[in-house]
Amino acid sequence: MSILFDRLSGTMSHALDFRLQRNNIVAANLANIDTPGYTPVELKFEDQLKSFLEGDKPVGMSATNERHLTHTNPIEQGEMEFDAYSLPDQKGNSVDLDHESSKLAENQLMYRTIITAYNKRMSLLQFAVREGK
Amino acid sequence: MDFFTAMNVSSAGLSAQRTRLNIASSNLANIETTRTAEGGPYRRRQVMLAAVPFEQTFSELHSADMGSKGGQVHSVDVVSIEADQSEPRLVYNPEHPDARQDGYVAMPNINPVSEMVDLLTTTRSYEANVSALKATKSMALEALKIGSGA
Repeated sequence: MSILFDRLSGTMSHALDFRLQRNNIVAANLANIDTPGYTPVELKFEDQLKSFLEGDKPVGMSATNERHLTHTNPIEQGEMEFDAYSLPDQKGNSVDLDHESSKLAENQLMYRTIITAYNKRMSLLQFAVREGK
Repeated sequence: MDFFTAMNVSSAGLSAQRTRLNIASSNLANIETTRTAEGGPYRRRQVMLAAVPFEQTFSELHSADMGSKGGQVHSVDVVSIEADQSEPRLVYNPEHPDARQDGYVAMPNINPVSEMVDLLTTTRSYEANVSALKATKSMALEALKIGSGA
């Protein structure tokens, strides 16, 4: 495996994709803030990762034979679920502006963090390529 | 799934809120209107919004179908602008040219307080969509900095 394009850069691009998808979903929830009967959706990821790490339930396919193919990145996508954060109003709409705004801000910050980490890693490699100059 | 999905959805939200703003302004402007083309006093208009699935390509349609519980990204659309069918407000004013035989004038069924509340919530919703759009834009600009060296 090459040092430039290893698993980490793949994971980072998956993470960026995930953050983008979450941004799209929050934008859709905010666009439907006055739509009667609309229930906001969210991308579950952290919970899935937690249960995966704790070994509660396997996410994706499991291999019982060494020749079985497994999903190489089982939790890259996250799952779309209804966000049951607040109760619906008179029109049956349950979008919470504060909740969505904080998700938007958090998501933006995480996106920046990933890019900063990626750039940092690239500048370290560049440092090595230039023989420490 | 790209940046333009969020931008398109947010702009649909903006235009829906703008329509609501226009309708609320039109309701307030016509609060004393007793003559209309369809006859009778002006009737309060309401904007009907509906969530519509936002799909662009087949692959997105496919991935949205695959094991998602909450469905996919929904945009918003103004489906209709409907007249409020509640009874007109009756005001006793026999001198009014449009007064009925008994001296009452049928005035529009508009409550200025609820129109003002509508106007305020519309403004806040519009701002929410603007901030979502700004967040998307700043993320897209940030993505251009990938690999430029920190």
